[in-house]
Amino acid sequence: MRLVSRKWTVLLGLLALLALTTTACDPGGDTYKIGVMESVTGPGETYGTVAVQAKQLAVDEINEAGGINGRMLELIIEDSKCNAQDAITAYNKLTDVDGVKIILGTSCSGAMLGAAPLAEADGVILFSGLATNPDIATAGDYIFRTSMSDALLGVDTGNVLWADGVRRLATITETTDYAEGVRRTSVAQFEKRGGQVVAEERYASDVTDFRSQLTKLLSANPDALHIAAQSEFSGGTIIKQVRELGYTGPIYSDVVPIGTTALEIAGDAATGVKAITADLDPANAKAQEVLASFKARYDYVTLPWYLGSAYDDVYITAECLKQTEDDQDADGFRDCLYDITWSGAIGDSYSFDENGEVVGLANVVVEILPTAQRTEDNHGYKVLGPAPTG
Amino acid sequence: MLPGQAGGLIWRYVLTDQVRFGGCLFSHFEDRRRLLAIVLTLAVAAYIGWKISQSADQALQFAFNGLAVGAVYALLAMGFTIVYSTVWFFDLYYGAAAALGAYGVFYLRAHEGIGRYDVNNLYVNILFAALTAGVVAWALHVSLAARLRTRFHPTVLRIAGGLLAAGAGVYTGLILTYPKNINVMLSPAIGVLVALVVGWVLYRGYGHLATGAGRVPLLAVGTIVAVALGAYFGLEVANAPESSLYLSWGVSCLLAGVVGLALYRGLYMQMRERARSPLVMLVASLGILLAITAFIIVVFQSAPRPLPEAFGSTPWTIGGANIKGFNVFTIGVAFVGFLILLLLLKQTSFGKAVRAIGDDEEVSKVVGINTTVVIAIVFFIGAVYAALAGLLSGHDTAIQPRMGLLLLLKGWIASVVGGIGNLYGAIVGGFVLGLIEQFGVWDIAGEWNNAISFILLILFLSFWPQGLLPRK
Repeated sequence: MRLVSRKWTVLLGLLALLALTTTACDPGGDTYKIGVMESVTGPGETYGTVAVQAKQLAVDEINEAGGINGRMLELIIEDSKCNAQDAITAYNKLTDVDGVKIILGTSCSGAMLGAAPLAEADGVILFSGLATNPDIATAGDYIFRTSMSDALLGVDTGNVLWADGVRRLATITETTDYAEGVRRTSVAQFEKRGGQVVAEERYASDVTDFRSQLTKLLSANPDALHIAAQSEFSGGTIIKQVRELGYTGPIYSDVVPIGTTALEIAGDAATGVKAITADLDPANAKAQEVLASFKARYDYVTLPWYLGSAYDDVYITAECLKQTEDDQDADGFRDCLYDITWSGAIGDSYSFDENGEVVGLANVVVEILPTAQRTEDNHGYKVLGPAPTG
Repeated sequence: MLPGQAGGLIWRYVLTDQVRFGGCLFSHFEDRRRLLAIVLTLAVAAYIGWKISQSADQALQFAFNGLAVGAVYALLAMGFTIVYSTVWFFDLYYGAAAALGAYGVFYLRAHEGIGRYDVNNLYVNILFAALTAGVVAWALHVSLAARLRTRFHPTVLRIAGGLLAAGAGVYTGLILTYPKNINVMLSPAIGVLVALVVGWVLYRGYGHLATGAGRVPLLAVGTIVAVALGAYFGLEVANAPESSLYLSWGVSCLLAGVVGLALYRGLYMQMRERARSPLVMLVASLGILLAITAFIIVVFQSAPRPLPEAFGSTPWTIGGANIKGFNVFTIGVAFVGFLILLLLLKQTSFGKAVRAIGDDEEVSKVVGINTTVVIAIVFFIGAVYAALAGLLSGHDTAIQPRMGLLLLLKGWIASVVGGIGNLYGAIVGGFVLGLIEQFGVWDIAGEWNNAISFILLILFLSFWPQGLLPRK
């Protein structure tokens, strides 16, 4: 069981970190102390674990290279458990007990939205590499993220559809906030470019038979089908059933239907499905270097984009600390983030807008491989390249 | 006639009728109902005709989809209708049986399904083993004990029955514990079954030849043939791991039937003897449906799951529309299931007994029908049909814990539409419901297909409670 062994890896990793922090915590106190909140346990475990490991990797690299002008960087890690309540507990511990002013995190949007108002009121930096909810954009002046908002996913999807020559689109959408949001923003951009939605259907999360809805969508004779699903189950099942109805045209979606479960359900029917998602650009040398050192250290790779995003966050933090030379100066740090332009694992020359939202990044387009070519390393798909902009 | 004109006609008819005859509405109710039926049928036919002229391909595709789900509804309606028309109460366990049938297959084949879940659970295995042992013991007691009592000592009978029941329980437990090798586990049972059936057929067909001097050699040859065929089939199955999925279907249906029997013996029988009203039993069976659904959620979690791939998942293109081989198979199963029930009900003494009990249970008892056994068999058949429908629907799309309630309602609507208590009505109702559900969402959003079924139900309950083919 991979999950169990990963749990052990996390535990051991945390123990190692504990040992590391206690040894590194010399009484002189001349390290830069940075808080980290991630969901190391609970529903967001996979995301939180990868984020913590990536950040530790980056910190160790920086310290081995001599730290920030000779001063070492130190992470203080708390578990925000993917919900608002535990995020607030973790936040209070970091700010009250450890007295940090800069916090990297957190992994779940709900947790992020829970802690953000406190951070904004206290003037503490909250800098996430993983939370994607569009509402985080307006959470405050001290709230930043390198993770791309779900709204950007819609824009990129609309652009990809248009660039691929799709003019008549059919959509099928699960009636949940996330899926409806993906559909709304995708369709808005697609229509802005001049495309037309010729048929649309919605389904409740417990539906298992999509045939009558798919038959209707196909009868509108669309150029392509867009699936916005919340669960891998329905995403995979729709792909399977639409192919069984004889549809051979292109299918577009997001990260959900390219998950392991969805691909197993859909089988060969998923071959050629295109997904617009956050993934590392294979042409980006820095990204490949980070993946390689992560793999060398932890012996597995998952969620590569989020791994890269968490990794970049530490280097951006180090760069700003180099300028402010004070880990208690949240205002200076904030101004530094507004001004910075960064090139790292997740993209070249990206920066932050007045909402603290990352700009200059794009999702990539991936294409699902035939079943015979799907391996654990390629996750069953190949990256075609960044989504077209404009 | 255009639908609009027809609507106007009926409106005028209803209105003038009410105005002119005032209070004596009832005598004209029959006429109006007939007119409404004709008008509605014409309107539906006109709509479908219009749609076919718009896009024949899509109409064909909807027809295929409708037949595919209709077959499942028909199977449900058939089982439901014989249970309902025998005991006259609305047994909600029927829905749970459908879910149990589907989840049984998942349980037995989880290790080769998607995600390779490890659901095998000692307590579940023990539970089903104990249920099987209890049901077998009871079945032997009510069916054979009375007949054998004159020949054997009661203690001998009790010990033999107890051993058989315990054996059946242990065997069930073993099959559930080692589902990976279900074909090997089941091969002896299949061998014995084939041998018994062949022996019985030979005896029935040629037994009369076995008289006088030729008796011993003839019987010996017959036995050897039966045993040889049994051994052959047993070995064939043991060497064919690909048969596992289909054997799991059988085991799953039988287990759902066993649970049905256990409920009948443990609950319904007592309630019926105490002459509880159908309403009390309805509530009791609602409790059972909810409890079994909760049980399924505890063991399997509440997310929908796919069943392992059965044969026939590649679509065939026929006249511009696509249908899976598996759907054609499902339609075939519905018809074969229909024929089997038809033969059973019309051609056997068991069928006569079932109808007699449906007409008057007390009198049936008086004339010497073992009503307990007959009703038990009816419950068993009903549960097996439901389980079969559940697992076929699961293979076609997916399984989820609450599928039972929805399938139950669809089966019920289909039998109301077809005419409760009429087997022809059940199969017609199933396919009609499937087709109407599909064609109904042609011009409106697909989310409405369940609403359409319930509107159909309300229409039938208010205007034609007898259904399309009333029970004679």
